[in-house]
Formats: sequence, structure tokens, C-alpha cells
Amino acid sequence: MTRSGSPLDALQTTLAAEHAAVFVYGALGAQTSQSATPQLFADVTDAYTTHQQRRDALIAIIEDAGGDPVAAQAGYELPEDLSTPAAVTGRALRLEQGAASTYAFLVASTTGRERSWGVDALVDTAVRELRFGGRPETLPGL
Amino acid sequence: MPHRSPLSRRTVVVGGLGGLLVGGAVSACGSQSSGTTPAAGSDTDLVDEVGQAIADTLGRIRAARGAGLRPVVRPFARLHDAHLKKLGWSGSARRSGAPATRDDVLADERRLQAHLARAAGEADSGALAQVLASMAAAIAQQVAVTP
Repeated sequence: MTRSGSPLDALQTTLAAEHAAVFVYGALGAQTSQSATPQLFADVTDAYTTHQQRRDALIAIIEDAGGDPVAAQAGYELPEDLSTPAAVTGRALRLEQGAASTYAFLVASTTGRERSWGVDALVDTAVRELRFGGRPETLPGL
Repeated sequence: MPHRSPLSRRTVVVGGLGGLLVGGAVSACGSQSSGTTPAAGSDTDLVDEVGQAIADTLGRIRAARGAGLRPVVRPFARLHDAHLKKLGWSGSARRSGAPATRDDVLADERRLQAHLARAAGEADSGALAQVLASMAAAIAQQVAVTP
């Protein structure tokens, strides 16, 4: 998907990213043991729920704007080896970093309510990166 | 009160954020920011207001003298310095009380985070908006890791 065009295009790009995030977190959750790594399991579960909520919110925003929300793909590429907590954590961190860039793009491409939504999502995702081993940055998402 | 010439301030702002305020459309991640093609300098007052808020917060936390506050304050001070540099803002902090405790510092930082998030919503330039939003996110990260 190209990253250009109208605010609606930016919303669609963000929705496509959320579809992918929900899929990937579903896979990460399946690879995470609640008993062996309870904190990681809780963090992955929380991230899954958050991205689901964002996906649903974006669908509503796009429909309100008169758009036809992009559908999820049938599947998304996953790393071959997600068998260790380190692999799951690393994948989750990359996902959140990618999400931060996408929200920053959304902020730049929209105004009003949609931009405010993007700002809140960027702030939340930047903090979520820390749960997966991320470190504070000077300009997260940029 | 700071003594800054509006003309020199504007020059500094355009120098530091010229790509955002004048060119406007290309974001730091190389993406095109659409729907926001600002007039040159249309966000100058907003950048000035935000720069002042950051400088004031920086001034307050640097004046903090409470026991054990140094490790709390130092990373925030580095962050604010970097953000002021990004904005190209070089004015002076206005005088106000210094935080006395860790919680005071964090409350100050959360206020600045909210200010930046609000300013991101007000920017005419999409590119400036994403920089301000990212600055708010950076403060939120630092608050989250503060011991």
C-alpha cells in the first residue's frame, strides 16, 4: 500500500497495519506460555486487545468518513522461529516500532479528531515499546 | 521575561524547522504528509509557544535541588535540550518554582506532554504535528522508565 494521498488513504494505511498487528499478536500469543512467562503473556495479550480496539475504531472512523475499510489479508508473514521468549519479544518490539511510524504518518496526514486519535496511539505505542525491550528515544516513530 | 527579537526568533525557527514549516510535506520517515500544506511560517507562533513551554520546564527541573533528584532530572533535561534543538528554539526560560520531589518533576513532565499533544493537534503543518506528537511520546517513555 502506498503512503500517499488523502487523509482517508492514511487512515486506510493505518487500518491495514492494525490488521497485520492483530494477526501477528495472535500468533505471538499462541507461542507464549502463561505459566512460564506470565509477564510476557500479559503484555502480548494486552497488546493484542489494544490493536483489536484500534482496528475496530479505525473501521468506524473510515466508515464515518464515507470510506470502505480495507479488509485483512488472508495471512501475514511471520518469522520462522518464534519458539523463544526472546524471539516473541523481539517481534513484538519491531511491530510496535512499525506501528509508531504508522501513527506518526497518520498524525502528519490528518487533522482534527483523526489526528488526535493518531497522537494518542503514538504515545501509547511508544510506551508499549518499553515493555518489549525498547528504550526511550528522542523522537519515537520518526 | 525573556528578551528575544521576534525577527530573530522567526529566523531561528525557520532555520531549525524549515523543512517542516515551509516545505511542509515530507515527514521524517520519508512519507508524504497529505492534506496539510501550510503557508510559510504559519506555525511560527505555535513553535514559539511550544519552545517556551519546553524551556520553562527545562529551567524548572534544572533548578531542582531535592535529594536524589539528579538521576530523575538528567534524562529529561537531555531530552528537552534535543527537542529545543529540533525546534531551533533558543530563547530563555521564564522564572518559576523548581520541583521539590520526584513526583513534582513527573507532574511537570506530564503537563508538558499534554501541552505537546495538544499543540500537535493545532499545527497547520502535518510534518510539524508529527514532530510534536513524537516529542510528547518521548516524554511519556521517559516518565515510564523513571525510577
